[in-house]
Parts: sequence; C-alpha cells; structure tokens
Amino acid sequence: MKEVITSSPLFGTGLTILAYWIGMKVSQKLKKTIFNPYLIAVVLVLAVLAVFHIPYSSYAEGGDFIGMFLTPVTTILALSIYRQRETVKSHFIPILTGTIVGSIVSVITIVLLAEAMGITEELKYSLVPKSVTTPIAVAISDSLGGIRSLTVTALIITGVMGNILAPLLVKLFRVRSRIATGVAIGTASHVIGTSKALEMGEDIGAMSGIALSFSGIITAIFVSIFF
Amino acid sequence: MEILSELIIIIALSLAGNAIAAALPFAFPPAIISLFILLVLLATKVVKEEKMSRVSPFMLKYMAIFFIPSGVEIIEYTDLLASSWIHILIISIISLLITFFATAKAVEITERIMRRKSS
Repeated sequence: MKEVITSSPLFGTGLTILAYWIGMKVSQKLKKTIFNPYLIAVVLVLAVLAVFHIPYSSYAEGGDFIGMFLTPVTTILALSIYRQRETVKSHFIPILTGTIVGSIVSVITIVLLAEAMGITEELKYSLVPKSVTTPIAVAISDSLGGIRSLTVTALIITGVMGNILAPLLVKLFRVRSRIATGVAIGTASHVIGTSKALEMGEDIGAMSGIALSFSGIITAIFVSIFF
Repeated sequence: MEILSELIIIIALSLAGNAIAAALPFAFPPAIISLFILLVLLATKVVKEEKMSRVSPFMLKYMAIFFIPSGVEIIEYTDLLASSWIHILIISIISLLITFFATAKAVEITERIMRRKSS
C-alpha cells in the first residue's frame, strides 16, 4: 500500500508542496529568521521520510521533477532585475563596485580558507558560491562539480547568520552609508539577509535586493574565469 | 493562451541556455545564460514585461519550493556532513564577515570619490 503511493512522482511533488505550505503557515506565526518556510519544509520532508521509512530514491522521483525547474526559475530572475531598473539607475556605480569587490572577495576568501583547512575539492567547489542567491549558487555549484545540498546548507548558514548579525556588523565596521549597508547585506547574505535589510529600511532592502542579483551574476562570471 | 506563450518563452530560453553553455569552451552555468538572454530581451522590449506577468511572478514568489529537493538531498551526504560540518560552519561565517566588510567599504569609498568629483 505504502509503495503504491510513494512510487509515484506525484508523492515527492506533493510532499514538497505540502511541506512548504506548512512552512509558510508556521513562519507566519513564529516570525523568526531560523523558522523560515524553506528550512521548515526541508526538515518536514526529512522527518516524513524517516518516520515512514521511505527511501530517498522514492522521494527523488518527484523531487527531481521539481528540481527540473531550477533553470527556468533562474531565467525568470531577469524579470525581477528588470523591475528594479529605476533603483539600479540611481546608484549604478556604487552598486556595481560594491558587488564586484564583494563577490571576488567572497570567492577568494572561501578558496583560501578551504585550502588552509585542507578540505576536499568537492566540498570546496560546493562552498565557493555560497554567498549568492540560491538558484545562481546551485547553478554555479553544478558547473564546478560541487554537491548541491552542501551548497544549500552553507548558503542557509550564511544567510541566517547574515540576517542576525547585519545590524551588529553595521556598527562594528562603522558603515554610515545606507546604500553601503544594503549592498553589503545583499552581497554577503543573499535573500535571507535581505529580509533583515527590509526591516532596517525600505531603501536598504531595495539595495540589498539588487545587490543579490548583481553579485550572483558577477560571481558566476568570476568563477568561470578563475577556475 | 498568454500563459502558454509565456511558458514556451521560459522553456525555450532554458533550453537555449543549455545549448549555448555546452558549446562554450569553458564551464559556465547554463541558467545564467538564459537569464542574460531574457534580460536583454526585456531591456530591448522584444519581450514586453506584461508578457511575463502570469507564470513568472508566481514562480518567483514560490521560488524556494524548487530548492527543497536540493536541501532534502543532504540525507545522501550525512557522512560527509558529519565529518566536515565544522569546516562548513567556520568558512561560512568568516567569509560572511569579510565579504560584508569589503562590500560596505568598497561602496563607501566609491561614494566618497564620486562626491569629490562632483563637487
């Protein structure tokens, strides 16, 4: 009976959507960074698989179907960049320099730390794109030969830490410009950090949102030249 | 009808990205090529923004769903995670701090230079 249900790709697809729906409901109630809908959904799916002894391969039948839309979703990011064009125009040069410097510094720091710690090449490549927005990070990880799920893990750690630490880092590093604050949050901690940037001010949030798209694209270009 | 043509554009661009990436002499993420093409098409108004207003906003809104399988896949790498979680944590946090600092200062220095030039 269980196999009849779990062997269909609809099982993994449905479970993923249901888990995200529950995740959204829970995060609306709890309103804490750590309880973001994505994280809740992943934990829920893992819990269902463990409790009902469902092999990962059964889930992956539907999971792979959903994962197939990674490229289309990344393509559509163009629309969200295009919609922000007016804000981009007003501060184009500072945003561009900030995201170029930040993206390059991020990749080089990760590579140097990876070399210093002597971790495997596979893990290093998984971590390289971890500062950028998920669709682009996964795409870069794939092209380098990294492991998607490790990229996502590091990316969530970075995002959640960035979200929590952002106000403190602004004080610690004596950042006075609101544009610099927004660009730094978006470049260093992508969309999870951006939700804190929005709380700090609409202008800071807008800068953070643009910076995360810019840094994603710049990181993709830099990585393809660098490696 | 509009939904169908929007879907066709998205799928065609995704496939074009794959084809172009395969033809490139270096490794580059196919999805970023598709993104570039769509951005150019929007900027040149070959594809109108309204054309991408049925499926795309929905997919952007629920984008996180598409990454859930990648997150769940961690179950296949529990050994690797157990042996290297501390490295992942340290690298994530240190690079976050350095990237934040470098980005913020780069923007502030640029703003200062621009202000000096314009005054």
